[in-house]
Amino acid sequence: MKIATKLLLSSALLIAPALLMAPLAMAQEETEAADQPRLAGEIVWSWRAFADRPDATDRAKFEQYGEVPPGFFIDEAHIFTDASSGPLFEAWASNVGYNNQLYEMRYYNPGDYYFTLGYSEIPHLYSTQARTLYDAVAPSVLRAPDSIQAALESAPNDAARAAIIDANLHMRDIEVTRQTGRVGFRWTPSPAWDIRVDYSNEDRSGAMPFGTAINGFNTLELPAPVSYSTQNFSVSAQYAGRINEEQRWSMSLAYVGSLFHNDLTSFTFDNPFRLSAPVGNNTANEGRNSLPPSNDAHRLTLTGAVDLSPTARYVGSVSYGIMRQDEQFLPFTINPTILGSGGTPMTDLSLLPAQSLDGEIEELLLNNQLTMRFGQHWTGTARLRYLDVRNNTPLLFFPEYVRADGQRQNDDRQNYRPAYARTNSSFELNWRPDTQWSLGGSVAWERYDRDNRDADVTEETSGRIFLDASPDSLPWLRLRASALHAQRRYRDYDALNNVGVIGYPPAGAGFLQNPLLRKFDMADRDRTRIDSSGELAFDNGLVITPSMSWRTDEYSDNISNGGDLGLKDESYWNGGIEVAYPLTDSINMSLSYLREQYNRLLVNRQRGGTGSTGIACPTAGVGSDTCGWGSEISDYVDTIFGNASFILSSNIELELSGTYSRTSNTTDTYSLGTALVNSVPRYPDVRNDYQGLDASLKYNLSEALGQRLGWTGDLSTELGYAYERNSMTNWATESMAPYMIALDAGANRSLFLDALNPNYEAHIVTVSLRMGW
Amino acid sequence: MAREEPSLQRPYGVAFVSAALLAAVALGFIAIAQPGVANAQEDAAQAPSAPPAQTAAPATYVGAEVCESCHTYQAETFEATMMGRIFLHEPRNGREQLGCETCHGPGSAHAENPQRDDGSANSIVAFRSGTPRPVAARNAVCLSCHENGLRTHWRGSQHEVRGLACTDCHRVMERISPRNQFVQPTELQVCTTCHRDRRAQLYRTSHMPVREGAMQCSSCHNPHGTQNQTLLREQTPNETCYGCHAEKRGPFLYEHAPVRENCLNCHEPHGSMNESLLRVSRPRLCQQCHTETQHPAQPQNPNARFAFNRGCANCHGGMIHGSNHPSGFRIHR
Repeated sequence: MKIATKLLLSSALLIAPALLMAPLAMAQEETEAADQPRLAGEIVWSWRAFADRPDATDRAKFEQYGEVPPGFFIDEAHIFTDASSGPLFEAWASNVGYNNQLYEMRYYNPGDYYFTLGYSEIPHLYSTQARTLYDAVAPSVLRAPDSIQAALESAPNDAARAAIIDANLHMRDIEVTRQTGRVGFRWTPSPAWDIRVDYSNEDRSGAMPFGTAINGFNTLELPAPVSYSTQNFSVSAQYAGRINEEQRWSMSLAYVGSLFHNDLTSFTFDNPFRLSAPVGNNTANEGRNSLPPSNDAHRLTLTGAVDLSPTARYVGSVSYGIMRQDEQFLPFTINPTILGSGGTPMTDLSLLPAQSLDGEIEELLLNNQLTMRFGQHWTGTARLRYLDVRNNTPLLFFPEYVRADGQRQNDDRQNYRPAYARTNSSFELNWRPDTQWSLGGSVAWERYDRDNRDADVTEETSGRIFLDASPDSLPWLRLRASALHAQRRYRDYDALNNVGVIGYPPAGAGFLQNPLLRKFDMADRDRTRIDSSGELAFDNGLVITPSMSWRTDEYSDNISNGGDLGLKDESYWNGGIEVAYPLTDSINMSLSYLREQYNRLLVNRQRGGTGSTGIACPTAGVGSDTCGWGSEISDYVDTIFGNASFILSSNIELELSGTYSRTSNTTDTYSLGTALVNSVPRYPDVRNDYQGLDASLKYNLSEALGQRLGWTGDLSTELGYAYERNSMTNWATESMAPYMIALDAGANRSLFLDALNPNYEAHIVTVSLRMGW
Repeated sequence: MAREEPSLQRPYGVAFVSAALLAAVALGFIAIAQPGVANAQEDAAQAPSAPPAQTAAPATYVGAEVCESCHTYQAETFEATMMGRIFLHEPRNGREQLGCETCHGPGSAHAENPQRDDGSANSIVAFRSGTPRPVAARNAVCLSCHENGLRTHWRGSQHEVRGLACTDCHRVMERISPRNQFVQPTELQVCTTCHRDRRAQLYRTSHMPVREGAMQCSSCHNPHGTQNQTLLREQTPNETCYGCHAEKRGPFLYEHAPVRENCLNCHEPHGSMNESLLRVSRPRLCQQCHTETQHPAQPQNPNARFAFNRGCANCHGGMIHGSNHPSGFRIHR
């Protein structure tokens, strides 16, 4: 019913302009004025049926970004006025009436002004099978019925709790929908000026899966409310002028602003396993989570470009931006029984060092680029870029806080404000002696100067060469290849002093990160990358396009006392081929295959607990290498695309296309020492298969037949068949249930949504009528 | 209470050098630009010189009607494009008044002897691939009008350096795509002609709505060149992501440092086999950096709530991008 109403309204909206324009179009036929606008367009009316529709609980991935119901719908519409002078009107619509509908309208005088208006909806359907005990009694309050809380609290054992939960779960969809309206105006009063104003407002509403904890390690996965609005606006003006006949310059000034507002700053949820008021540590009967705070951002950019000579061009820009957030803080907890060390309940906002963050991040970006031509065959580009992301947020000291609304933690904590300055410089040289060959190379340097990150400075130098060839002696051949090698090194990697003493004041006591760890985004790294592709185009129309890429990142640090921890190696390669061949003038076929492989090696060291041999693993320091473990994570992907088109007669066309994508993952884990650390399991392989097949038979009705049917414009019909199947085998989700006691005894006070199910299979038949006029 | 943090001084040398360069060049070109600045009105009065077919024995302009007498189909399809409409019916200056010859150059020699473009001075400028005229020369024709706006950074950009012609992606003479004069019906088809690995990624189980048509490659990238990495429209990957995910912008009381620096540390935006576009499945994703004691440092059995479902994010997931909660130090509030 909801869909039908939306469809009706949307159709009316869509057809209204056409009706308004119709008299104009008819009048045009009656006049001889050649410049009168003519209304033209096309609309595709479709009807869809399923030979096999996914069950409601299997529809999340199938309808992730838009509903696909059976029945009548307007697939797409395009209406426009056509005239050789004067303003024009153009409108598009697609998926009319559905939750992924899109409308755009443009009223413009080409080369003069352009006014645009748009509205779109984009859903993100996370789940159609989530099961929960919760109901939203208010937008920001999730409650489980008191009777269930009481029953679960008094249940004698896990089995009894499981029975109560199973009997009271209800199913719900989890989905967030974006509804965006846009308006824009572009004015080009002369070819030299370009002035633009744009505004958009996006409302996001719904719910999304949200993982949190209560009373220590008890997991709760909740359908957290989403009620956001984002307004983006921009104004820009550019002027382009000429220095002389060969040299031009331009200058532009642009402002971009963004206001994000969250209607809900927090949400409250019941602890489903307890109804009674809390009486001590980790006995909370409800919790409260923060939600993303409202914020705003602004940026002003000045860009200039000038041809310094007929062979040299400089482009530079200065940009200043600011991001701010000052939402009122929540108290430490919603639990009134937790008292601060001074005896004041930690629900009291007066215990906080500030009532809001007054957060501010400034960004300054300076860009310089000089492009030069030397003689006939050489070009060069020099770049210098400086980005300073400065975090001006105040440093706040918290002598205590509350863990998961269950217990006061007497630990000193401070917020730390990561920030960085990034400098890039490079020079690139390209030699292009003729249209057959192009050879180039570049050297580049990058420096990160970080605040509040483990490494203070990292520097990376790189060299790259590339070759493009299409030799005249082999006119059927075209090659592209490039190779890069880069080395990154840190200056001072000291997590304790650079991060620990800030977050864990005053001396980093309690900062437990292993000193052997080298985080992959700051660690020493040697990177090599090679990309190549070719195109072999033969006289008979056969085109073969092979491609290959290979990349490896080696994190080569090796700390003297037995090696470092973290990601040690990451590599990727792909190889593929595409073949396109016109069998006849009326039959075209193409087939492509791509193989990709990712490998990662991770080294870690268990601290705390004992391995299966009873060897205790130290809880601090660098741990013990007897408790080391490694993990190899490999992803394999095969993707095949096929396409064939047949022109069966002058008015019948057949299109076939198919896609097959298979991804698989292996995660192997093994002990590196003698302790045989906990579990060391090889995770079961994960595999996902996606198959899609589309077939469409199009019949263009002749003009005479169309006229007999009462239509003077283009008319065509299309019969389509689509098959889609997604099949995933994933240990992490397929064994899920809301109450996971069967697998994890420690999860006896945890509750999950059991929301993830990407499997579906669908057979779809569509009949369409395309009407053009 | 706020505590003093150790002073963190950052060298400003590069900033000063950049600023000085910018200022010097800006002042310089303003100074040299003054005498010769030509505005649109001046353009309109001038005979065009930018069209590149400069001849030893110059060919002359013959007018669009002469071209149409042979190239009837092209004339019809061109007229239906926005450029065709302007050039043929509402030219705004002298250059546009030349119609076909605005881009193809003076056509008298070609009309007398309709040879193909052989790259010589007297032949017209053809834009199809494989013509002997260098790509840069062909692109210069387009840039003589279109070097502003999104094309400001074309020269020196990745695509320019690798020899891409404007006409590799755009078809000027007919309207194949609803917008932007692409050579194929959709932008995605155009980009994935070369970027095949990206096309494959779009079919991973976790992907953004690009193949569904709700986003385009150009939602994040400007293929005509930018001064940012990987042709991003915005100055950093994070600024790009905030365009749609403003709730992750913060600043937050408790930042998750690698998030603040680069979303791509954890996410693969073009498509992933892991939930939420993650580069690596959890808990291994988090364990690349988290080696504290107890549960982050353990390999974790798949039957544990630290591994199954969303792994670490089962407890730390809701506000993993940063928490503004005073008790959010562990990123589970």
